[in-house]
Parts: sequence; structure tokens; C-alpha cells
Amino acid sequence: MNIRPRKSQVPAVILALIFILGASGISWGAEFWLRAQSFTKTMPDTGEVVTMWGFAQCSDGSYGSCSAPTVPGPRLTVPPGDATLTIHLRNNLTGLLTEPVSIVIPGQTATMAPVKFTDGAGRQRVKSFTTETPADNSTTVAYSWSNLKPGSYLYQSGSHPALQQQMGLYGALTKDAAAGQAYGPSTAYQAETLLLFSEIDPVLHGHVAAGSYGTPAYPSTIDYQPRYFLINGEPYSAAVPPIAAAAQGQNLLIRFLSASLKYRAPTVPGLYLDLVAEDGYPYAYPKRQYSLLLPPGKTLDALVPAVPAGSFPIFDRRLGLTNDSAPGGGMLRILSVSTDTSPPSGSVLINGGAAATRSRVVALTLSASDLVNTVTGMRFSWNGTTWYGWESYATTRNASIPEGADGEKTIYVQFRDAAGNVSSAYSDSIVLDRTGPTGSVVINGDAASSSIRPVVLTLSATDANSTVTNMRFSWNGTTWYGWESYATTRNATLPLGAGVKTIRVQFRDALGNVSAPFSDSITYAP
Amino acid sequence: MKNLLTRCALRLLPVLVFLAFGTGAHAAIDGLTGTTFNLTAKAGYLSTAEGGSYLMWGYANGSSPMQFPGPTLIVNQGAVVTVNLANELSVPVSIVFPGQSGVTANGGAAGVITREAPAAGGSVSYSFTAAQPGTYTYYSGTNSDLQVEMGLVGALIVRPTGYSESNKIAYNHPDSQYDREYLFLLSDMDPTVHEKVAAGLPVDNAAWWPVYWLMNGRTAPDTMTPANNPLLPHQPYNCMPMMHPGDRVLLRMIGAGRDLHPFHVHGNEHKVIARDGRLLSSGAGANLAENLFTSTVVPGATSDAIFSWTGAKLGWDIYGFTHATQPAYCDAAGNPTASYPADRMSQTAADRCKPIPVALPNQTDLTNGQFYSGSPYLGTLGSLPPGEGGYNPNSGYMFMWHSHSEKELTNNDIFPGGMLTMMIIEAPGVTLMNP
Repeated sequence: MNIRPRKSQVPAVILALIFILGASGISWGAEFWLRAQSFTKTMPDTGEVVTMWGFAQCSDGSYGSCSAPTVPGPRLTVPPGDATLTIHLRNNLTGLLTEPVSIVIPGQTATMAPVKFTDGAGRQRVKSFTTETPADNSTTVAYSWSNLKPGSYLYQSGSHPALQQQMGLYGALTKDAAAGQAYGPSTAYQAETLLLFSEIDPVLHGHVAAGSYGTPAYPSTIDYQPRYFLINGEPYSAAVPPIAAAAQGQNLLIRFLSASLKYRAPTVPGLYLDLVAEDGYPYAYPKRQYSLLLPPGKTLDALVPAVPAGSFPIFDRRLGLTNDSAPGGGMLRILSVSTDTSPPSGSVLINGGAAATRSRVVALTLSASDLVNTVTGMRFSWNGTTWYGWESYATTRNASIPEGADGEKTIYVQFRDAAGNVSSAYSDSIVLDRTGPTGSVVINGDAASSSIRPVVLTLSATDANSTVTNMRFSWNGTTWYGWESYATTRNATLPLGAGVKTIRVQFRDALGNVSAPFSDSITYAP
Repeated sequence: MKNLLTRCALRLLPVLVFLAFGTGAHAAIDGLTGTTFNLTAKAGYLSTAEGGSYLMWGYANGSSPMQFPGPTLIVNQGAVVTVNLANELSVPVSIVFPGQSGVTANGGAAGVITREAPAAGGSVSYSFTAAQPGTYTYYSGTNSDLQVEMGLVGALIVRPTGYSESNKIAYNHPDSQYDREYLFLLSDMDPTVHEKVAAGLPVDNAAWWPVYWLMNGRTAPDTMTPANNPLLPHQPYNCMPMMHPGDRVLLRMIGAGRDLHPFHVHGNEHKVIARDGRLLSSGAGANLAENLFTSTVVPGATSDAIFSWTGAKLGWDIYGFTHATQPAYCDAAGNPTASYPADRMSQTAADRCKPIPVALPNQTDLTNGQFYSGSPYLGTLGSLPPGEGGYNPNSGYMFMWHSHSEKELTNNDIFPGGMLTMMIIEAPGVTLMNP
């Protein structure tokens, strides 16, 4: 039923031109081929056979390959990027009473061409809101919309609507503002159910089948008295399965549309609905209700955030709950929300995966995903058993290594999804190293004295958790030469003047930890 | 016609008794309190004000008679509520609690919408935590098209955690503060259904056509007779709001039937603060509340509204105080003195001590209704011809509150009746006799 449009073939030259001109948001026009057809529908419980007029979906303009006609007609889903819509219509109504048909979409602007006739008093009167498609099964009329808005809408015949809408010439048209967003980020959803409410008065349909609608036997829809109450074209019966609406924890979007001629009052006893939009216009604030008033021709969108698992009956509280006079039918469905048992999976990195740090404050990089739901929470532990409280999931976070000795530190993280499933613990380790290297310096192989000023230093340094990278020197312990790369030998020149000369060295590891000074002395005896 | 008038007068007799003597005020809605309720689905007869009597099914409080609507269940927020349902009817019945999440059903037999108490002696038990305050409804989830029409419906009130006798609030926010509360459970009825059920004939609910319209289970003028009126053994609840000037009155409105009803209040507009048990809010109190003079009461939905009437902006002193009548309250310039009674100050300051700006007609030029006190002033009993004014002994102001679909002001094609009652505003100091 959910049919995606065929793309228009836009010549590559034009695409290239658009590209050159720097146009953004290239629009592909959505295009559908529909055909109005008569068919009969057998009603549950009563077995009553009712003549319907419905739309069939065809694959292209040849009308050579069409699905069976349905009421409501096929759902037309326009992709978010498409600003233009074209519906090509053919009319294959058959039987004793047929009429020209058309397509209008209340809530979407279009150039309309009303069709008039002259009544008995010589007055010009409208019989169709826009161009008619004659019931010849050969004429194809294109109906176009050039500035299609996002939202939930009914498309329906704009010709003799008092009869044709009741006969079934309607369907749902939806367009999202962006992928997974009905109207924008605040209406993001992971699961969606569309519920189209409608009614059938079998007496009216019988007069259409007999060709007596519009005659003194049945003058008009003024005598309308519905006896079947349908959701998505079918009244409830024991044969109707539950609707697999969502998985636990998902944001469920429910689109309510009414092609009924009476008010309906859908009610979900076990849930609250956040009504977010009406007639394709988003509300400034959602309205939280367990029921809603659904007038004829109306569309209403509701969001159920983080829907719980379970079976939720939804029914018309105006009690259209019979199939003809048989109880236990009508506008009733069970929304089934499956249990989500799969936990998220994820990872954690400390300082981007660094091996060691000399600071207790570290930066965590987190990543988690869930097959069904969004990841909503995370919690941490430094030992895998004692956990801090749950906090909102984020992809970065600072953390402080607990007080204690230097060494390897491991952080553990668990992630939680919207359904409450908790992941196993993921971890990363880092070495906390706040200690400088240890080492030594020896002048001229530990000789007691030197007669010349040039000497050779022999250096040795090690670091427990890191590598020795730098060293620096001083002859007096206060004035230091600059840091230089660590080496095991180095030439040096003794300061002027005879006497005992003491060299001092400090080593620095890769993390920046600096050692205490190490020293060696030699007597300069020129 | 004479017969009808006589019958109406007889029906209204209890109004007189009620208004004159009353039973004392507790300013709360009649109902059952607690956490465990034992309801029994059973049959009984509903009386309509024009003399009809119809088979009803209703939820009774234990072994008490069937009642319509069912007992108003009044619970506290956070309470774990258990409703045990026993079934004395010949069909399975059940209860759904819209607006309550996590309702568990135990015992009984599986149904399409919830577990059911099997026919003729079966039982089922429902339990839920009343997590959020508000006005809710409950009704049968079994063949609801028939059973709701037959009367298996009631009200559920969850008092917020912050509620107390000295802090009456409907929700946990001061915007829902009130002085007194009234239930307006509106329903509609097609007697054909009840007659066919009584006769054991098949019912065609697709052909439903109501000719009775009820408030809290009664048609007007029975709406205005006392609660627990022995003449109406299966309709214990009345529907007669009363207030003093300046009071904030909470209206708890419930659509209990099948049709929409435009519930219209006279006297002032009302501010709708909640729908379906949720404050109309974007986060700061009832900041999305709306002022209406007609609320659309939707089947299965509830709404809460605050009504107030102060006498403000009438342009004259509603108590008739002038320098001529009350020199202690009003000075010679027509301004109130420091002695002007504090309990009469709800009206606009500029209106105090101002005479009514019309010449009152001569009594012999008037046709008096039974509700006219003989005076335009609140709390003042004027002189009346013998036999007049008997229904308004305290000289209150009466505003008709009713369905604005005028067709619904009838009882089986007889006017007046149906979905109609009076809001009675009594002078300060007068004891309000309902509830």
C-alpha cells in the first residue's frame, strides 16, 4: 500500500546546468499514476457485498500494469526533498452510474480549474473543483502541485464530492520534512502508523450500483446513515490482526486521517498521545491527550514518545463499533508494541586511545548504537563493580581518575537504550604516570680530575611507565640550560677556574614528568 | 398541557425542599473514596423527568442498587487502586480506565480490549497506580457500543499530592486552585435500545438516535433536585452548581455518551485548564488554558475548567447598597465608606454604592417566574404576589448552564428538560446547600 513515486527523468544536461548555477536542493518531482475503478467489497460478519469506487495504482502512463483498486486508495509517500507532485488520473468507473472524477488535496495549494454546469434555472453551478477526468478509461489528466508542504493529507476526488468521497475515492498522502522527521527535529520518529477512518452507508452504495442515486428513490447523500465503520478500509473483525506499530522505546508517530462524514473520537486507553500537528500544520506546543476529536476531512498527527511495550487497543469512542448491527467490529484496532530486548553496543576511549597520562583529568570519547532504539543513557565505573549513576548519553565527557598510586587505570562504561536495555561493560585503560625518570650522570668515566676543560658525560635514565625523552643541565643547580633530547653521552665543557666542578642533570619523560637532579663532580686542575 | 405543568411542578417540588433546608456544605463531589472499590454490574431503572422509565445497566457500589452513572471514584495521586468488578448481568462486562497507564487485569476471561467479568456471576479485578492527578472516566470495554449506552460508565477523580481541604487544587499547580467543585458527566440516550434490551430483542446500534440528554445521570429538571433523592433510587447524583461571588468553581466535564455536547455556561466564561487529565501547559502552569463560554464535551474525553463570577463590571451594586439604603456603607457622593462589608467586595470597586441604572417596573406589570426573588439585588427578598418565587428562598442569582444544542433541552421531545441545570450564586453568608 505504501508506494513510492517514480522519479521524473530529468535530462543530464539540465542537471549539469543546475549544478553549474549552484542551485541547492535539487528537486525530483514525485509522480504517480492512479486509476478510478469500480469494485465490490464483501463486509465481515454480514457478508454484505458493497459496490465501491476506489483508486488503483499503476506503474506508468501506459496504464498497462495496475494494482487492484482499494479504499482508501494507495498511500502516496512523497520523499522529503520533492517540492512538486504530479498525479496522472484515468477513470475506469463502470456500472449503471458513472461520473467524471478528479483529484484535489485539501491543504496543498494548486491551480484549480472548476467545472460548471447550467442548472434548470439557468445558473452556473460548480460540479467539480478542478478539471474532470471522464469515465472513458482512455483520457489521462495530470494534476500538479508545485509547492508541496510536509505533513499528512487526504487526497480525494474533487468532483461531486458528496457522492464520490463516500464511494471511496480518497487516500492518504504524506511527506516528511526530513528523513524520519514529520515536521522537523521535534517530531522525529522511529516508527509510524497511519490510521485512516471512514464509513460506509451500504444503502447509498446500493443505489449507486442500481443507478438510482440522484433519483426520487434516493435523491442524495442527505439520507446518509453509516452502518460500517472502518480503519484503513476495513472494519474490525476477529480476522483483523494487530498492527505492529513500533518497538518498545521508539518514538511512535500516529497519523490520524478522517474520510468519514461524521465526527469520530479515537481513544487509546493505555497511552497518551502528544498531538503535534493538525491539517499539516505543526502546533506551537504539543497537546497531551489519551483521545482526540477527529472531524470529517481532518488530519491530526500524534507522537507517542518512548512507547512502552504491550498491546494497546485504539477505538472510536463515538462507538462506531458495529459491523452493520453486529457488535464487536467497527473502528477498533490493537496497536502492538514489541518488546526490545537487544542492548546497545559501544566503545570508550581515554584520551583518544593514549597509552599514558600524567593528569588525573582525562577526556573520554564514547560511541554507542542500538539496533532498535536510540541510546539514551550511560554510566561509569573505575573498577567494574561500583557504578556512578546513570547520566544522559553523550559522545564526549571528562573524567577524573580516582586518587591513588600511579599505574594502569581502567574505566568501564555501560550504555542504556530508550527501552531500558543495558549493555555489557566496555572499557579502556590508560597508565597514570606522575613520576619522573631515575638516572645518573658520570663525568669522564668517574675520573677524579681533569686537566682540560672538555669532558665527556655518560648518562643513564629509566622511567617506569614511560620513556625518557629529554634532559637538561646546570653547573650551579639554579641556572639550567634548555631541554635537549635524551642521549647516553654528551660532551661538556667545564666552567672556567680551577676547582671542583659539579654537573647536575634532570631527565624528563614523554609525559612531561621531570626527575630530581642527579649530579657528579670532577676537579679541574689545569 | 395542564397535566404536563402539574407534573413538572411536582417534579420541582424537591427543589424547593432542597434549597430551603439542604444538607450542609462540604464543597466536594459525591463519590467513593479509598483505594479498593468493589463494583457490581447490575440492572435497574432510570427515571426521566417527563415520566419515562428505562432499563439501565450500571456499576453499583457493592450490594447497593445499580446506579447511573457508576460511583465517582475519588483517589489520591500515587495510590495503588484496585477495582473489583462482579457481574450480575447476563453478558460479560469489563472496565477500561483511559488515562491510566499500566492497568493490570486479573481473573475473569480474556476480551478484545481488556479482561472481562463473565456473565451471571463472573468477576475480574483491575489494578493501577493513580500516577497523575486529574479528571478521568471509566466505562465498559466490552461491546462498548451497547454497554456504554446501557449505562456502564462513571467518573474517576485523582486528587493531587498537594491537595488538602485548605488547599483545594485539581493539579499540582496553583492555576488549578478552586473553592468548590462540580461534576458534569454528560450523556445521551436512545430509549429504543433500552426497550429492545428489556424485551430481549436484537439491538441496532448503527441506527442509534438519542432523544434524552443527561447530566450526571439525570434529565432536567431532576438535575436540580438533591443528591440521593429517594424518588430517583438509581440516579444518586444531582448536578446543581452553587457558589458565592468571587469563588473559583472547578468544573469537571466528562463526555460519557456518544455525541459531542456544547456545554454552555451563563454568567461568565470559564477557563479550560486541562484536558484528559493533563494540565494545558507548555511547562509553566496552565499557560495554555483557554477562555470559553461553550466547551465542546467530547465522548470519552474529560476537561477541567475554572469558573468564577464576581459581579464585576455590571456598573451597579449587586447588593443594592446606596446612600439612601445603607448610609453607613455609602457616603452622600455615592462612594463606599470604610464600613462597606468586606465580604461584598468581589464586585468592581467603582460599582459599589451605585444604584441599578434602570427604573424597576411596577410589580403588577411583571410575570414572575418561580425563581424570581422579587428583587434584582443578590440576597434581597422583595415583595412578591402570593405563591411566587418559591424556588429561590435565599434570593440568589440563577444562570442556566446547558447544552447549547437547543434540541438537547428536551426529554423525549418535551421541552424543557434534557441537558440543563442552573448555577446558583448566593449572597455571602448564605449556606450553599449543594453539595
